[in-house]
Amino acid sequence: MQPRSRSHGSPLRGGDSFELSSPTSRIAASSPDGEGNLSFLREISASPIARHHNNSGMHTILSDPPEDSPIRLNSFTARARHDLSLLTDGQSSFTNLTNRLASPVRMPRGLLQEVSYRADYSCEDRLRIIRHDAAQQHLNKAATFFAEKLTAISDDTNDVYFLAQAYYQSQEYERALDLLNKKKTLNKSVQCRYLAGLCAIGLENWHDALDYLGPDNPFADKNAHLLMYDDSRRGNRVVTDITKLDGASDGLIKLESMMCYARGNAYLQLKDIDKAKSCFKEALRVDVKCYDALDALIQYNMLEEKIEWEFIMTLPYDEHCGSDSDLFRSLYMLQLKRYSHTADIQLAQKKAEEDHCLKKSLDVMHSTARTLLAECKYEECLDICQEIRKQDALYTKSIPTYITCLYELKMKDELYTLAQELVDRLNGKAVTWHAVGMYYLYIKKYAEARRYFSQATSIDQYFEDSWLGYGHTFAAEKDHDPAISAYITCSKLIPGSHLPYMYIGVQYMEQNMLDAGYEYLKRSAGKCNSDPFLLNEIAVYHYQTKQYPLALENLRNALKLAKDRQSPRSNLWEKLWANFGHVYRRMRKYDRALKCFRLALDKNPQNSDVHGAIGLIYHIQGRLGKALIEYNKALRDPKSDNTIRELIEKALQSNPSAPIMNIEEPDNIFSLRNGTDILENYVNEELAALESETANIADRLEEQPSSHSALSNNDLEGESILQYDEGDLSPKEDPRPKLSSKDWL
Amino acid sequence: MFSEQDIHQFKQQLQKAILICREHCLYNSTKWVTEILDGIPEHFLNNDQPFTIESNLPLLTTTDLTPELTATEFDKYQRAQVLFEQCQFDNVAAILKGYTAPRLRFLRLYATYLAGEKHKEEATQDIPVGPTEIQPKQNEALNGIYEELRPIRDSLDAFNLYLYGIVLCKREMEKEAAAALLESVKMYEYNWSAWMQLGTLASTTKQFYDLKERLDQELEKSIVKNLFLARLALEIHLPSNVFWEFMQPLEIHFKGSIYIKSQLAMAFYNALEYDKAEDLFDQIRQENPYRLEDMDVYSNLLYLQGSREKLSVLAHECIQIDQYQPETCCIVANYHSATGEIAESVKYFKRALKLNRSYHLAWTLLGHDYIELKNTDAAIDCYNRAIAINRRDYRAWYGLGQAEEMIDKPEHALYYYQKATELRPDDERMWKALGGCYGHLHQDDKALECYERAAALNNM
Repeated sequence: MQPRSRSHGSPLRGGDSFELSSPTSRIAASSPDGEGNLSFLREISASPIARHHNNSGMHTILSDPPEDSPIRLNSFTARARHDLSLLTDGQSSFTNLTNRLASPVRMPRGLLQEVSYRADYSCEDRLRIIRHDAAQQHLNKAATFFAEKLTAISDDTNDVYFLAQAYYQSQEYERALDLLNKKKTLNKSVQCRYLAGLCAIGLENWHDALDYLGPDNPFADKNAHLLMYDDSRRGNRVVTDITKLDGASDGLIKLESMMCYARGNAYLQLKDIDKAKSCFKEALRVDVKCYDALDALIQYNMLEEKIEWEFIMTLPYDEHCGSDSDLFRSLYMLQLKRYSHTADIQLAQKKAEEDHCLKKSLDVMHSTARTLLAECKYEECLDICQEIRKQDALYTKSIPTYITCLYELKMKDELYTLAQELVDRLNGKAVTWHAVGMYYLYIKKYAEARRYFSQATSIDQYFEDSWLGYGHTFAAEKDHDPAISAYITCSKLIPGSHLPYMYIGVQYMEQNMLDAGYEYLKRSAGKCNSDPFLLNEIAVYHYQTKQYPLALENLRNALKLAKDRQSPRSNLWEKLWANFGHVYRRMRKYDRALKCFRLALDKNPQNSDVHGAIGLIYHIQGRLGKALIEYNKALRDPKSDNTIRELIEKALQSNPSAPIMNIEEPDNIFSLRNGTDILENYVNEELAALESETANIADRLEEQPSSHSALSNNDLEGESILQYDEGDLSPKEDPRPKLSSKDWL
Repeated sequence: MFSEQDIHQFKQQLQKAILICREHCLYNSTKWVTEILDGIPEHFLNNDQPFTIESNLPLLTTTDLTPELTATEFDKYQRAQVLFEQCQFDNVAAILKGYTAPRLRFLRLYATYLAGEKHKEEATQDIPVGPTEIQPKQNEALNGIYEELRPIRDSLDAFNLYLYGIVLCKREMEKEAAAALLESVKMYEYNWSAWMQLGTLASTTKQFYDLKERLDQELEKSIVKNLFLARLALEIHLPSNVFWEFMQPLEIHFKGSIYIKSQLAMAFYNALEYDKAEDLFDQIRQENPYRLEDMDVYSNLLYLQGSREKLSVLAHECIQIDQYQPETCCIVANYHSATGEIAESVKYFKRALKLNRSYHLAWTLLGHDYIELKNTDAAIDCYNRAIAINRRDYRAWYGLGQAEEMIDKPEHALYYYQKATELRPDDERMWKALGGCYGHLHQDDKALECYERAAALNNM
């Protein structure tokens, strides 16, 4: 048992102070898109030289470097550096040193020395080598010092570029920009333009950034092939073999693609989501390897389910990644949404884990977790999330998944601990405040939850989970209008998600504004038509508007989608079967309705709505004793409404005129031979009905008379009861909207 | 009907059952077995030789006590057993987490279930008893157990099936529960708790005979079956001749068993033969002065007999034994009720209920107290709770009928009287109440018919 103070107080409030004092928050404030910037840095430093030749890719002319310039040498050492940075990535600098000394593979420093001993190098060349080394080893002052000397000596664009880059790496964005402008490099070098764009982004001058980078891809009208094979890009006029000049053969990420990505980022910050989206897509099409663009598309959920699938599946992997195309394809497929193509994604997962030995990769593990979450297998998902956290507690991607699991598994204390830990360690991240919000949502303190969700969305305005959570806090209080407006904001910011529309639909339906609700449900289905939860909601609409065959069709489609993909523990089943039951009840196919209700009760024996509906069926059939038993079961739920009481009253009023002992002898409950009388096969029965709609109609015709005769016994009474039927007993969608939302939070 | 040989074998089975039930931490079953064994005539016992398992229990195989467990599993199990004895149920579940050997699975899930029950009780502990009380919570562990056992339903052993049966009962899946429990008792007859659980599923005469028929097919000749059917006949108030039919052939062999004696006493009590019942209860008390079980029934009997002095003595003695037992509280409450101190009586019933929330007898009697106090709302609430725990409690149904009549809702009363009559069709009082109710509702034909039934029963 938990100490009371924990659950009732609001202990997380103390966490606010962290926000002020933490250094991470400062970093985040200075770079609103911290991650993006970091990745820029990483890329630049990984291969600083390889692309300073690419200057004449623009329409401007840059003087080609002399044949024998140090640049060639530089590109050689840069490649060595590049390898180094890959090899030692993530290790501490000390181990780097020892490793480098110990292993011959990791000795580019020795290599460098060897190179620098070559007597025929000039002083400038040697300075350049030192400059690169300093920049590589994050000796920013040394890098600046030597770069500045070099610019003074040569005034070469390349040297200016590297000085600007040194400024950039010391986060002196304005200084770098000034330098690039003063030296008039922008018209000479694309690389410089790119750096200028990054600086502007660093300064949060999004419009400036677009000015530097161009509002559109300037290379787009050119034939992509031309660009790719453009000789001068490599700064080497001698090479004529086209394939060697191809981006794929060089193995590095194309500058054009990176610029597209940076452009997209600027648009995103300007809230021009469509533009941003197309920039990111372009970045990937130009170079599949530009993962940042993919990450942005996925993280901000910009693509609708179908489009996302098509886009990711049709990227030119073979062209850009050569023999690694399979690796890239598999890894990228793991980023897809989990509504359809499950088998393909599964295969990709297997490939990544087995063929490419990436079992231990966090992203690959996270992908497994996402699959499990989509199947509502919370326990298993939780295990993986915990494993991920053990490896890297600051891997933010999987934290929302983890939070959802904790929420669903009602692990309040763990949720609290997680939120507390995140507040301590990741104060400036949206996901931290999302965790705090979820905790308050769990303990039903909606005002606080709202506050923290909005804090999360103010840190990252594209954080879908928190937007939805924000809406759910209103929905939980039956405050429909603000809930709807929260969902609408979410739908505008996150174009790839069908959930906001679905929730809007549900909100309207709860207010009995059926057509408005349906409108949004349809829109939601337009974005993703393979979500069984959504189909279930649509079926509710059809049910409410008495279009029972349509309702059935949607329910059966939902069943088909859920059949193999939803864990038996998913809360979808209960809703689905209850709704099946209600539809059949209205269609007066009572036997089928009872079967479906039994399946619903199998998932949750306490479902008072279902008990009430079963009672109603017995009531209509004149089996008062059984009806009363079921009504009383429904009444056990303190939330059960007055309808049940009225129905009981009705049944009791008609009781005196019934035979004296109007209590039916129960069936022989001791007759069951083998244990499982649960209608497993019923799923298939419904699916078969979906397959053959004609058979369904025949079925209906066949059963119609029998239900009539059942009704004729007490025709008048049956009718009067059915009036209730239209009212409150309708299949309500989960009155606790946060529960249905869970699957996606 | 049962030969000496049968009884001898039965004795050996019981001796073995003690070891097996205890191995599974089924203490109620163990206790029951010991109480039966205690009544076995001395000539079946070999008292001139020291008791060894080898010489006395040839039926016992080694796998009964130490089945194929790995050394780790065995050690874990020993540890879990000790903690179970100390009622650290959550701890047991945690220690055995992930183990799926049948015995370990059973103890783990059983502990999970009990932990869930405990938490449920604790969660409702502070709430005051009365009509304002919110609905009782559910045992949170049930769904988890159900989901774990259901996929492997067909490969479960007797004990896991018993647990599965309990869960199904709680989920109101009666047919499946019956099948699971029947299979459990067929696999292992001497788990009395499984029989008791099976018994809760039958509440009408028809169901009794349905069950008997099925049992006769499954277990041809079984002493436990007879003991069970006798008990069930008592519990669902079948005419006393049904009880005797099963008990007579056993009574001779187990004269000394305290369990059998109290069964007989209950049978007389149910058949309204209060004097005979009182004699037997007196005898039981003399032989086992410290046994609190069934003494609540005895106190009811004394209350009905109006023997306040005996009730007072009983209450005092029970307080001496353990005043914090629900039975003791109930007896004291009965005493206060008999002396007209209803407020005191209510207090003690509430105390009994605080000690055991599912003490349905106390709920019913508390309801009666509230009727005396004219607090019909509270009475209805109490009766409803009694029914929620044991829907076969005809007194609660009857009480509900009375309460509804008091607040002038004859339609409601009629339904409740019908339920009471359904449970006890051979009790003229039920038919009279039903007749009166129909009279109120101006259904004179039906009223007359009911009175005729009552008169017919009275003449028998």
